[in-house]
This record gives sequence, structure tokens and C-alpha cells, in this order.
Amino acid sequence: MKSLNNIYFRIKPVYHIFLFELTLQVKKFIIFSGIAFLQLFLNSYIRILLMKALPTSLDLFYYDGTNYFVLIINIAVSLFFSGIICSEYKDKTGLVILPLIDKNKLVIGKYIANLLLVIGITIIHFSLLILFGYNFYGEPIFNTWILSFWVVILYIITLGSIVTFFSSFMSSSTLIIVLILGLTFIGFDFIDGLFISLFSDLKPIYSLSYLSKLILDIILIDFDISQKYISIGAILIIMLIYIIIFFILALVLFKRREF
Amino acid sequence: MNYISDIILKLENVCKKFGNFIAVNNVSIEAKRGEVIGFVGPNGAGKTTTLKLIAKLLKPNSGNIFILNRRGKLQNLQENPKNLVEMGFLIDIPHFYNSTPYRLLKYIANLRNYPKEKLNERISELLTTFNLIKWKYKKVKTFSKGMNQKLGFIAAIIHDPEIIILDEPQTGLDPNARIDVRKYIKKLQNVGKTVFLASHMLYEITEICDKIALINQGSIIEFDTLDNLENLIRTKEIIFKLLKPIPVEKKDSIIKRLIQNLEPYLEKDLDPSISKQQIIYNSKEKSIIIYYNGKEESRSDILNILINNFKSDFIIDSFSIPKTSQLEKLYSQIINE
Repeated sequence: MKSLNNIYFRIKPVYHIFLFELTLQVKKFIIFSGIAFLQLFLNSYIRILLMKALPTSLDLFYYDGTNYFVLIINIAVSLFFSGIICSEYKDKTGLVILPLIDKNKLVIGKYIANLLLVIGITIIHFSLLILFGYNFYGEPIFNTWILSFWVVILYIITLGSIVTFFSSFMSSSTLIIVLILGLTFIGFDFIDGLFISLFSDLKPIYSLSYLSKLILDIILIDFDISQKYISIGAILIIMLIYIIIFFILALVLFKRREF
Repeated sequence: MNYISDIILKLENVCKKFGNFIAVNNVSIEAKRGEVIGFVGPNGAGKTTTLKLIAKLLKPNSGNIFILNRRGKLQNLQENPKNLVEMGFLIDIPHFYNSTPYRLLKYIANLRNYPKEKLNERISELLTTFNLIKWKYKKVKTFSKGMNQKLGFIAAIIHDPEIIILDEPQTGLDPNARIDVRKYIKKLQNVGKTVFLASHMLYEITEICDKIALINQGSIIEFDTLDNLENLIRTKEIIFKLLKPIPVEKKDSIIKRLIQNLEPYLEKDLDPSISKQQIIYNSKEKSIIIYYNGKEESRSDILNILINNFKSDFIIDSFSIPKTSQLEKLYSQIINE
């Protein structure tokens, strides 16, 4: 009973941080959910109006919709996670909060809150994908849809950990956003190009860009994973390593950071 | 003052360096339950750095900070923090997340496990005391500097901490709010809370602090009660306010007689930087300032002489020993040394 009480008192601050962070970030959540809806609306109804045609099959419709959504997710993760630690220093809110709370609990609470919000946006997108797809094509394709959804979740957790890591030592969230967007839109592709030219037999499994392509490829019905990717299990392990290493590094650096 | 018995916070040879710059140099200080300790020193003296070290916002390069734990023993601040007595902090100008005072205070109190059933009442009570109640559900980004400062003070005490660390709590406050804060610190002291207060406002320090730590260049130069610190300066002054001004034609002769009558009590080696004369008459203020030898018994003798020997010359309305100016003198004397 005593140990249960101990666990409760340890978790309680994380829960309060989590709840408070949700209230602070709810506006961003609404905006990004709106953007997720808008991009699908543009990609379906407006596309019919302008181009008089939709993709030839439902999986291609999913592919197109999710293609834009990956861009949205990169921006959303950068915006949600970039301020987790550095804003406490830059905005000086840490002067009020940090003396009162264990730093690890603060990061964990904020990380989970932001993660759930971005996952929430993803759920909205994937639900809309089903709804819009059903409207235009009929019966949904659940098996590839769900696989793509899980890869997106893995991608969000990984990218979130990387952004949190940068937030633990960088001073400005704007800089972090620029850096992350640079990395995800250009950086990884550039490094992957170099990597493939040097090691043509190997796959750039370290690359987030590689993972983001899997989100799209896996949604296609006739996609054969062995042609382009190593196994899902291997990707999962690599991403888990990313998540753990960057998250632990973020905690260590935050612990050492001073005002 | 029965509760002033146990040490609640102790700094032992604490040093903090930023590169080659020594911000806090071998600071040792201890505070007992119910004491209000003032930190006085010029800008960059190390006051805020010392408070940040206590707040664990900085780590000392050497030395230890001990805080009372719930078992009544002093415990190193770097060890398991969950056993320590509660602390509240107002460091620097407070910056808040863009939320409402209600949500922010609830958040802070929840983080420190303040009883849920008392929380709403406590938030309302404190917001009412500091005239912020009508802003309870307004976003803090619309707040003025003074309102933020008041909210920062409330945030420091919302969870009813045992030790309260306040860094310039009166910055940006209007006179009424300053009085409210001062009164509240007194109230905290009366219920046995220990308060650390860094301030440039020497009047506030003299009004509410039991002990004063004079800091300069990272070191504590003096740490004692105000009375004991005053003994460090050679001269003391008494100000007598008169009911009516002394007529101009009588002024010189009265001063001369005052000097003759009070000769045994006057300061013999008056520091010329303080005053060139032992007795000064200020016609504008209708007051006589007397620099005496600082002995307690001299004060009553001086008062008796002024009342009895000069009743035909002037009537004393009131008299005071200006603590602030004493501290100001002490401050400049010690800092300049």
C-alpha cells in the first residue's frame, strides 16, 4: 500500500504537468486539426472542381492525402516539441516552475502531452482519410491504412525525441524549428543521397526521410516492403534506439542546464 | 518568537563561478525558523546567484546547502528533494505561461501537493489580499509589470511553503501594493515561516528583516541583526521634530547652548562624510539632528535635557532614530571599504 502511495505521488506531478501543457497547446491542436481537414478537402473536393479527377484508386487517394500530411506532421512536431525545454529558459517561465519540480517529471509530462496532441491530429487525419475515401470510393482499405498509421506514430515519437533533444540545449525554439524543418525537408535527403552513392547495397535506415517514405509506400496495396526497405522489425528497432538515446540525452542535458 | 529554535537552512562555504568570474565566494549563512533575512548589496554582488543556488537553478562549484527535512534534520539540497520542507520562490521578474492566475496558481499548488479541498479558497484569499481577484480568469499577458510581480509573490506562497525566497519582491509595485507585500511578509514571519529577501529597498529591509546579510563581490561582508550592524558604524543620529520652527535670530545661540548642554553625549570623532557638525537644525523640516555617541543611555539623557533645559526655546513634537539612513550609511561604508 505504501509503495502504491509512493508511485501515486511520483506520477501525480507528471499528470498535472501533462494536463497544464494540454491547456497551453490546445490552440495549436485546433489549428493543425483544421489544416489536416483543409488539406484533405483541397485534395478531394477542390481537386475535383479544378482537375475534374481524383486518383484512380483508393490507396492512391490515401497516398496523396498522407503525402501532404507528412509535411504537416513535420511542422507540427517542430512547433509542439521545440519549446518543451528551451522556452522555460528563453521565456523565463522556468524561474517559477523549475525550483518546484523535478526536471525529469517536467519533460516527461510535457513530452507526453505534446505527443498525444500530435497523435490526436494524426488520428483526425486518418479518420478523415477513411471518411473522405468512403465518400468517393466506397469500402475503406483498413490493412494498409492501419500500417501507415502506426509508422506515422513511430515517426512522430522519434522526431519528437529529436526535437526535445535540441530543445534541451538550444536557446531559441525558432532556431530549432528551422533546424528540424531543414533536416526533414532537405538534410536527410541530401545525406541519404551521399550515403547511397557511397554504399549502394545498403539502405539509409538511420534516416527519418527514409521512414517518412515508408509511411507513404506502405499505404499502397501492391507495395512489397522487401524491395525497398529492410524489415519493419529492423526499422522499429532503429527508431526505438533513436527515441531512447535522444530522450535520455535530452534529460541529461536539461538536468545540467543552468539559469 | 518561541519557534526560532531550529536551523532551517544553512549555506556552508558555497562558491559559484561563471568561467573565471566568482559570483558567490565562500558564502556561509544560516537561517532559523521564523527569521526574515535580508540580502543587501549592489548590483552584481551575488544576491540573486545565491538565491538561485538555494532554488537549485544553479549548482554550486563547491560547498553545501542544507535544508531542513521532514524528519527535522538538515539534509543536503542535492539529495532526495522529496523529504525537504516546502520552499517557495520569486526569483527575478516573474514570467508566466500565458494562462490565467487561477490556472497558474492551481498548477503550482498541485505540483506541490497542496490539499485539493483548500485550494480554491486559498487562491481566492490571496488574489483578494493583493487586489487581483477581478483578474482571476484573465490571461496574464494582459497584466502590467506590477500585477505580474504580485502574482509572482502569490505563486511563491500559494502552497504554504516553510521557506520563502524572494528576490526584489517589490519591483514595479505601487506604494499600496508594497505595503501589502510588506505586511504579508510580517504575517508569514508571525506564523513561523522563514523568508529570504533580496532587495535594494533598504527601508523594506529595515522594516521587516531580523537579520541582514551585506553582500559585495560575491562575499558576505557582514551578517547580523540590524542593531548589531549599527554598532559597526561609529555614529548614530536622533532626529527631533519640533512643533514650531526656531526663530532665525535665535537659531545660532540655541545651537551653541545645545552643544554645551549635550557635550558629553555627542560623537567626538564625527565622520565628515556623514556630517561636519554634531548638531544640525533644519528649518524646512522643523527638525534638529543630533549625532551622538550611540550609547543607549545617552538617548534618554539627551531627550531629558532637550525637554527640560530648552522648554522655552522649542517644543519637541516627536523623535526618531532613522533606521534606513543608518543602514544606508552602513551599506555605503562597508561596500566602499
